[in-house]
Amino acid sequence: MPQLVRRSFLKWISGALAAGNATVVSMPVLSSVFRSLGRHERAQGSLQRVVRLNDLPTGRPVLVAIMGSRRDAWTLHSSDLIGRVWLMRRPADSSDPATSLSENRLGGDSPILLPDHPADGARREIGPVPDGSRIGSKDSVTALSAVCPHLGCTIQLANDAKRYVCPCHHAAFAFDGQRIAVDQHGRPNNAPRRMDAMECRLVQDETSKEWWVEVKHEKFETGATASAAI
Amino acid sequence: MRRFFDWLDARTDYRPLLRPIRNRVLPSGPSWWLTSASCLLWLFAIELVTGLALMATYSPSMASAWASVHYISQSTAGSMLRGLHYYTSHALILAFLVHVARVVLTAAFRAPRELIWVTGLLLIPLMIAWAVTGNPLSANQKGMAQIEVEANILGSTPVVGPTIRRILIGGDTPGNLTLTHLYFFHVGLFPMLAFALLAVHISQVYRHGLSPLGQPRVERRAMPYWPHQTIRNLAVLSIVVGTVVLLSWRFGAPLDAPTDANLPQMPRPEWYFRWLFELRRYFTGQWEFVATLVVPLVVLIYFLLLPIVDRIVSRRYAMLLRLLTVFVGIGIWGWLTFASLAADWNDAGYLATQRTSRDLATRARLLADARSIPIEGAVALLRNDPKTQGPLLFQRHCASCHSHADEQGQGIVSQQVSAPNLYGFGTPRWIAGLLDPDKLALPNYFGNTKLADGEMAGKLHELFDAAVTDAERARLREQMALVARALAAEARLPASAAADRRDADQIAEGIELMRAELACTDCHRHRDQGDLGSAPDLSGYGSREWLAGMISNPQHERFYPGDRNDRMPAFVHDPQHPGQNILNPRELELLVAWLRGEWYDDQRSSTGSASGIAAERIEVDGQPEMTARH
Repeated sequence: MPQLVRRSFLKWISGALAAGNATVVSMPVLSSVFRSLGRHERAQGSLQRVVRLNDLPTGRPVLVAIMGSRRDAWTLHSSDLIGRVWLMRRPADSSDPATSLSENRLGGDSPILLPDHPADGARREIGPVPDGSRIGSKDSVTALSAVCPHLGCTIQLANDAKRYVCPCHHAAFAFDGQRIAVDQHGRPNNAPRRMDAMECRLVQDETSKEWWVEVKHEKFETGATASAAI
Repeated sequence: MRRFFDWLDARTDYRPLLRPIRNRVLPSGPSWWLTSASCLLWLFAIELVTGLALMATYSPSMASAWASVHYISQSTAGSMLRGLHYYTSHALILAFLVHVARVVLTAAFRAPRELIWVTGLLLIPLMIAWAVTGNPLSANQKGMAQIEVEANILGSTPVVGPTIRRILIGGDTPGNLTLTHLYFFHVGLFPMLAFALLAVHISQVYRHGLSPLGQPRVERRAMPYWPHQTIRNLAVLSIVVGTVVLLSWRFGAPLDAPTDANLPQMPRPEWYFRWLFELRRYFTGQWEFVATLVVPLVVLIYFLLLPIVDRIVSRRYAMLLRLLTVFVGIGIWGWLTFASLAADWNDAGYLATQRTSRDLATRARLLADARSIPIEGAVALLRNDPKTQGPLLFQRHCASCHSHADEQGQGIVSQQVSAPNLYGFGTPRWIAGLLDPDKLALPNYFGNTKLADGEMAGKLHELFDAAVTDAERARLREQMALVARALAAEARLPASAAADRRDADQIAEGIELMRAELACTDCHRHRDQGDLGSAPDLSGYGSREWLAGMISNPQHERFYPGDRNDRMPAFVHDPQHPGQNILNPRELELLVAWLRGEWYDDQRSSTGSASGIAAERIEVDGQPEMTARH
């Protein structure tokens, strides 16, 4: 009898020792492989100058690079491309729905649903009225992230230059970032949500008196129906 | 020899270990049907061996991955090695499909071979994931773009998606950890999983023997496997390997340009994913998960459960079911794949992007061959290349006013031309046009600017109006040609260095005309003669330094001071604060170099230069040295 008790005790203690060893070894193994789960690279959370207002044409979107410092695991890139933004400068009266409709009117007779309200996420903070006639006091600039909310490809301008399209899975957006419900092939749009708006404002440089567009760079989760900054 | 093996066997007793192989039996005799299994196994072995050899040189980091892969492909043997690894992986996936089709058709999944079937089927997604993690390892543009999209597709899976995505990418954005993680999967985890599945698969094959093919017939007697089946296996394998070797030899494995978010891209999946890529066209919006998740899983589960389905239906319908499974499966797969490819082949935008990508890849490899790769990594090759960056910078900053297009209109054509066409700027031909009163006011020169009827235009008209006779006019044109020749020499274009030496007499004559008879220096400065402030400086006209100055600040007294400047912005208005200027110093340098046609080019490429000026740039001890190309 004591012999049997002894045996089962030895079995039990062997199992416990093996499990203990396995745990001790697997902890650093797993936490090392899964380390990247907790590694969130926060984008610079501040507004930064990206382009001079004078360099933006009116009524035509321009893809502008956002430069900044970027850490890639063990490498620091002090000045590198961290994102891209579609900037659209509009004269004062274009927030009028009628104008924005005609501006976004897409060729052909495809049943495209056009958005009827301007981008809500992009704020316009124009300071004091700038001098010079080239800048109307009510000019506005909207900033939309060029990262497709679908699967993260870079959104481009369509060949007809009347809307944005994503080259990967043909997501399409109007110039104010709203999804165009039906893409150019007449099928439902793949994009789960509108283009993500970035905070944007106009500021005047104190010394040069130049007007600049400032954008707050952010990254957003792809694939989700609601826009969420990472 | 025999005695040696006897000696070895006496000590190790190895012969019984080989008995299962020696004693393998073909229940229905040898058959070409059975060759796919052995072919797969040996292709797998080739992948292991070539992969292992590639590991000896490959280095997974953003700075070195592309560089090390390019280094491998620089030697003929290395290029072959990469080719073998690459094309064998595709052959492996194809052979897998053939093998599955064969097993389904011959109903080889029936009891007691269920475990063979299941482990074999699970190897397919593993094999595809294995290939997918291999493509981006060289940190090339296409591969990285592909894995990013693929990771985002996995990332949109409910619950586990974001976690899988982060493990695959190694964080939020692709980078160093993406490569190390993919490497870990590709050469570490996946091979171990594959070995485990293969061990069960093959031991089960030996345990249960080969399944009989169809009904036993008189003429199909059982025969030993070796060598009757082996010879057939090797014949098929030789054809496959021969094709792979030929492809590797002829084309090598592709290597796209180093990944760079600045470069254009239009990622498309590899051929084995094309059917799913096409499928999502039919499941858009909220139904997208059907194409990305449900369909692949349902297909896999259907095949896994095939032995059960096969047992439930009657024997007659089971045959029909198997035939339908194979041929409808191949039909749908082939049709979706073709539809997807055809859509892209008919898309001009896609083809143009593909062409650009190919050109960039060729350019990157050319630069890497000629100069080896700088410490900051292969990405710097194209970022510091005037030929690549010049057109992009010009397009972005200059093309709203200037064109850069030759006589045929090839190049960058501005939509609203309001400034000179800068194609060939600084060449005798370009300057001669400027000095021609008939051309000066054309859109290619000052046509759309206020200089069209400025003092320069007035002076030229005055000179040409004064020349009444044909002889006088011809003489004036000759003089203008000499001035153009002399001014062009001021640019010190690398491509015309030899011509400048040859034409030294003409150049001297042109300078003399400029400073004396034609009185250019009344308004312009030329070295020690004339004053600044009224017209652009002609000293070093078109040189690197002159162009950089003009682009930085055209209102500087050397160029067009005050209101003489017509709308051209100062691209570097404050050199003390580079961040506040439109162009940073590097961009300015690249733009100037491109306008002057200064970039490295291969001797063999004849259409190297966009501005009609071909130059070769050789770095000597870090000092750029220009030599003319003849």
